[in-house]
Amino acid sequence: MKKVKSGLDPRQVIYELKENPLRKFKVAFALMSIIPLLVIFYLILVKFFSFSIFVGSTGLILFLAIAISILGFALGYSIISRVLKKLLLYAAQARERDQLKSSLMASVSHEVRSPLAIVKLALSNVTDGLAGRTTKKQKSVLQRCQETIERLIRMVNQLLDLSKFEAGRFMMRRSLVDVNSLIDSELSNFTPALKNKNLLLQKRTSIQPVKIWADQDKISQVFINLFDNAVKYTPNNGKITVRLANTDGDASIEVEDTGSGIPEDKLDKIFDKFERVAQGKELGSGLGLPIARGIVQMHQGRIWAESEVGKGSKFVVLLPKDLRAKKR
Amino acid sequence: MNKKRILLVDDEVDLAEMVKLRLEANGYEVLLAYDGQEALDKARKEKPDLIILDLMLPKMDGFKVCGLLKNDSRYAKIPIIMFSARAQEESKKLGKELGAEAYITKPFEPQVLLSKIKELINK
Repeated sequence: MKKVKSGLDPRQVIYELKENPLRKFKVAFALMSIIPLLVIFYLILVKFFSFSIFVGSTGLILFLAIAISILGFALGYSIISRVLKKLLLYAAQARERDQLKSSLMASVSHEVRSPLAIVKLALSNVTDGLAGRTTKKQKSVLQRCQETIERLIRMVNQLLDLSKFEAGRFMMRRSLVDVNSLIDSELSNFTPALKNKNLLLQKRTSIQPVKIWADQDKISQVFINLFDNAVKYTPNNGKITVRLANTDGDASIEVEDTGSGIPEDKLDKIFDKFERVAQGKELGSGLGLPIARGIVQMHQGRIWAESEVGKGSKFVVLLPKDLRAKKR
Repeated sequence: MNKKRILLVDDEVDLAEMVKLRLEANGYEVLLAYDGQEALDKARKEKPDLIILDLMLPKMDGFKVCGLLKNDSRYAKIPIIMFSARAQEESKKLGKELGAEAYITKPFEPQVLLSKIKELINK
């Protein structure tokens, strides 16, 4: 077997599995061995009830049989435990690779931000006339460059966020969050975008306040990503409905749009990285939903999509109101 | 009225030039430094009205420069804006603990930087 790098520890995998497969196997093996052993004892003590079976050719056969079965047990035991150990090691290696990939992604995103900052500043300097007067035509070209840079920056930031999730390095700072007012404040940022496309926004909330024990910044990121998608993928004059309710121990948030919808076979995939179902000129990074899912899962909640092609999509988020009281 | 002087510290020359252009257009005088030691020397010698300090610098990092200045009563009053491509909470926290008045993540909106400067210089 390949020698493993130091730091690679299958115990970490065992810890994450919350059970030790090797120990489980030993117990199972011991249980399995009991029956044949009992049969042998039964044969010796009850059936024959004499030590004569230990002598002569019968004794030899019995001895051979016992030896073969012990050998078989030992062999079986070593094969299975070797396979298990290999699997555990493989899992540890995969886990390490994954972490390496995430930290690579983080450092790359980080390195990319500095040059992006330079281009962004340079563009705004020229646009604002700090490097001489610009014509209207030049300005409109520059504006397009600026929009592109903004998109790149968003994408790099999201990649950085995602890599933090994957490396398990996201810190949670929980407090009691009033979901209703959080949604209101995030929605207010979308007013210009809604107006632009002449979209109707409906918000339905329960009379009782909905409060959850959560990381406010991260949860608002979930809402932003969902609203952003809804606005992006709903054609002009469409409708977006946001519902908020208290369900059994959970806060339930729904964002429904009248966009083009998502085919059923793609409903799960949209939460994967860089998976974009929609075609057309709308450009997303393909990272908004994976990030939303990451945050929701951090809060031990659930997120899923329901959709009908041609009619629209609905995204549902369930967040436990009190993480401390909930174990899933 | 005298122009307010800002010490801008960043090892990334292009970025420093771009920020300088923006600051000068807004009526500030800009001094440049490209590493931690130079930043410290210039801050002590020139006593600027404000310092914009990158985190990752050659010779001495921004945290150390900030700490040394803030622990010296002669310079402790100069407001410091830290800026970095590092967006980690720990960096921001450390910057605050060392006495930096603000923390801005690169890439940033020029207006955000300008309004922070205005707010800190007029204090």
